[in-house]
Amino acid sequence: MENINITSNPSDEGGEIQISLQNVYFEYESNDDSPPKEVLHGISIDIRRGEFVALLGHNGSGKSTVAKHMNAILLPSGGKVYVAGMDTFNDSLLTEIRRTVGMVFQNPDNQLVATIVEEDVAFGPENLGVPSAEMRQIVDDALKAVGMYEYRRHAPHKLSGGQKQRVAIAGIIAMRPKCIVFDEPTAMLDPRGRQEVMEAIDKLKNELGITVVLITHYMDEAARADRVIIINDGRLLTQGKPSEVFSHIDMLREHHLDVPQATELAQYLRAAGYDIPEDVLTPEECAKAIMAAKQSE
Amino acid sequence: MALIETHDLRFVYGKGTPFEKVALDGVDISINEGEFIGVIGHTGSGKSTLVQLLNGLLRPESGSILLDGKDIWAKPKKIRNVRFEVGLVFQYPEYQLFEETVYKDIAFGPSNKGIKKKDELDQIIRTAAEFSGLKESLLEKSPFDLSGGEKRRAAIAGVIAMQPRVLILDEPTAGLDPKGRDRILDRISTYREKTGSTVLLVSHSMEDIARVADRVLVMNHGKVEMFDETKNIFKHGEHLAEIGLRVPQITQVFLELKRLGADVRTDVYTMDFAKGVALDFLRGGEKSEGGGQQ
Amino acid sequence: MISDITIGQFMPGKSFIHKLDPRMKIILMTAVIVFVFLAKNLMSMGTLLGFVALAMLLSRIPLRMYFKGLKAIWFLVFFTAALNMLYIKGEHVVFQYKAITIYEEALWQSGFIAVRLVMIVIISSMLTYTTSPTDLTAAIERLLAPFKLLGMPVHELAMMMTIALRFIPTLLEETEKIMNAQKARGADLESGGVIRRAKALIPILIPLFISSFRRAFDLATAMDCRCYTGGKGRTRLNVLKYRFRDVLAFILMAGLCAGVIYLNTLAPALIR
Repeated sequence: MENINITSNPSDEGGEIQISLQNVYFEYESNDDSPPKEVLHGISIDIRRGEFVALLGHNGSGKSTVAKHMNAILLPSGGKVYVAGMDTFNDSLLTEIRRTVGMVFQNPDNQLVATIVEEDVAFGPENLGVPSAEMRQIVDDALKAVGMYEYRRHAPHKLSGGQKQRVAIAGIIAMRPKCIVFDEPTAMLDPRGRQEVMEAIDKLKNELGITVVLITHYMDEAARADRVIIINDGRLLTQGKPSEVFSHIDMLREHHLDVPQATELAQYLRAAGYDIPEDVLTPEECAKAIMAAKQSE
Repeated sequence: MALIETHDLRFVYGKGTPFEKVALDGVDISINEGEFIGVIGHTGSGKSTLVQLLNGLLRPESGSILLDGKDIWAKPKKIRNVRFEVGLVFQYPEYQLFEETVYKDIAFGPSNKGIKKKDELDQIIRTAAEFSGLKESLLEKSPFDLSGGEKRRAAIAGVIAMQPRVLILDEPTAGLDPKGRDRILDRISTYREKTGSTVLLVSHSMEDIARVADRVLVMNHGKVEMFDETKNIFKHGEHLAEIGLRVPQITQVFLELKRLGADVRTDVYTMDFAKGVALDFLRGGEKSEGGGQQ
Repeated sequence: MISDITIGQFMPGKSFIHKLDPRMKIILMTAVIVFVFLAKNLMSMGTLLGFVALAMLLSRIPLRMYFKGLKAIWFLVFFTAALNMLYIKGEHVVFQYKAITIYEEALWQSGFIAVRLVMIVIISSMLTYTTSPTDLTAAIERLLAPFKLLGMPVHELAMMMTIALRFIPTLLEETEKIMNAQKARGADLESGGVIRRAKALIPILIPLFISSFRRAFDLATAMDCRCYTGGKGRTRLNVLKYRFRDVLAFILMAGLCAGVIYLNTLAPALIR
């Protein structure tokens, strides 16, 4: 597989490294006699403090497996993973690792434990032994951060998908993590739910300074990230700023990833000789670029 | 004569309880044989209720549904037959798989329909599997050993195998990756071309609808908001946005251009057409009317 | 829709009974049930009845809700009463027809038994109507805590109860969806004999089991991610605390119990 060379790598600059996957191999053991199936073939990723990183790749590319290494749900069969300097192989650090890197999953129904919203949000802090006197404030703050405070006494099963997912996020925030890994959090939601969740994620990053790792199939969501990493066949295919990565339309196609339509149109016009910048990602940017090109004609 | 017609259709959930909610009111639509209809609307707009009424899973509060000119509720005891005529694939249909093998699971629908002859059944199952793009070798596997996309297609094959005249799919691409999504949409288009069946596709994805539908039904608050040819629907981008629906990203580019003062057409919803329109705009500045087909 | 069925039938409110600590409620209601069995004459039973009637009023739960709960056991009450009336022998005959003899003692006895049954239902409905399932679970966990010393997995039981309460509505909704999906494939769930109907359930039960396992697996991972390691070292958001009203209720109850025992001595027992 040809590795497309994208020069700038935002992880080279700034903040301390929060999660570090170092040459990670992983294989699933099979039940029968067939040999174990290797799904990660030596992958190295560094996530820095305050970054928003999007992980892309089609189903079976290994991106969820990568995510599950980030808080010791899975342990590598080769290589090392460090979370804030802690080795994920170290059993005694497990709780500390998991409170440092929280995780939100695809199906909102299957991650809520309690029968009342606020009790669910309290589940993490309760496990961590946070004193009851401080708990109320933590839970209220977490619910307010995702805009679900008014629903604190509701039963989770009466909420919409987007609302449930926001409660799940609040449940993680309440553990005061440094980083949250989102494993396709919007895949099962309608457009409104998707928007609610993406707004909540933006807020985590901008207001609470939480590092975000987002696995998604939606390019408009990935376009919000500081850095996009594409994983293919258990290897890191390429990484870079969204505008850099998305400009390689043929490569995205080849790996069955969507190309933002605005980017595709801009690239086409650029190829046809018009003065359109390379880093067009959104419809607004595309329209602006076309207008500018028109006026300069 | 239209294949399906509804007259003043009304449906209420939880009738007589404090949770009473009108889900559908005054719906009059008519769908012709062989059409590909896209159905859009946000959650709670009544689109899922509508498709369940069309195949007789729900019974209307008032109004009627005509299939081939006959009221489907004329003989309530025979309502099961309507479900073979109007096949409905639910959201996340892979959760309905239950048999030991994919083959047997696909056979469930046609067997219920009363097809007993072995070779006839075999023929039907293999054809349905082919339409859904399932390899022969998968048929003898357990449905639970398939990949996500394959499970989804096996479930769709289970409905196609009933040989319905109308195939309704509720969010068939939800939760799939782009590859899985493209495969399913391609398969549905091929199926419709080869069999000439009528297809209704319910989706949140405007890009999907724009790709495949001849006509689009827009539902809002239990009523029909618009029902028109696809190109006419996407002309009303602003209006769609007002009722909380997204237009395809490519349409958004042209709506934005127009907002910036450019004199461009906004009924653009496919990439190839968009490229032509944008080039025309940059070259000539004249509003392209020819443009060709999308 | 079947998903509207809830377990325990909690009816939120702000009455005196609602606000009592759930542990106290369980203790008091158990006491009442015990004393319903200890009350042996009209005076003691009458006092208890009056007390329960007062509690019913205090709970601000519509009376018809209590009667609704009684409907289910109406037959049982009637049947046991009738049986007792026919079989209990005594000295004073009230009624005689052919082989049927009914004694005065039997009337009293079956009357008391019927009242006991009705009271048990009313009191347990009161507990479930006025206490949220979450509070109930928390109270049971706290009250059973001493049994941990005997090796009883109290925390695990309470956790199981919470998860069950959380997932029952979800699974009911899922059942409805699967039923509709199979009906859309022509499954006939309504006709045929017992065996055919039981067979028709297979296409519903198998997907339901598989989906439950998947949910359980997902939930376990999610709980791991939220640092769940069992009951050790856990704290609680809502700490149960006895307040003045709980003390008041307890004193009232103690008085009542003493009263019942005293009143029992004033007149002969009407029930053995």
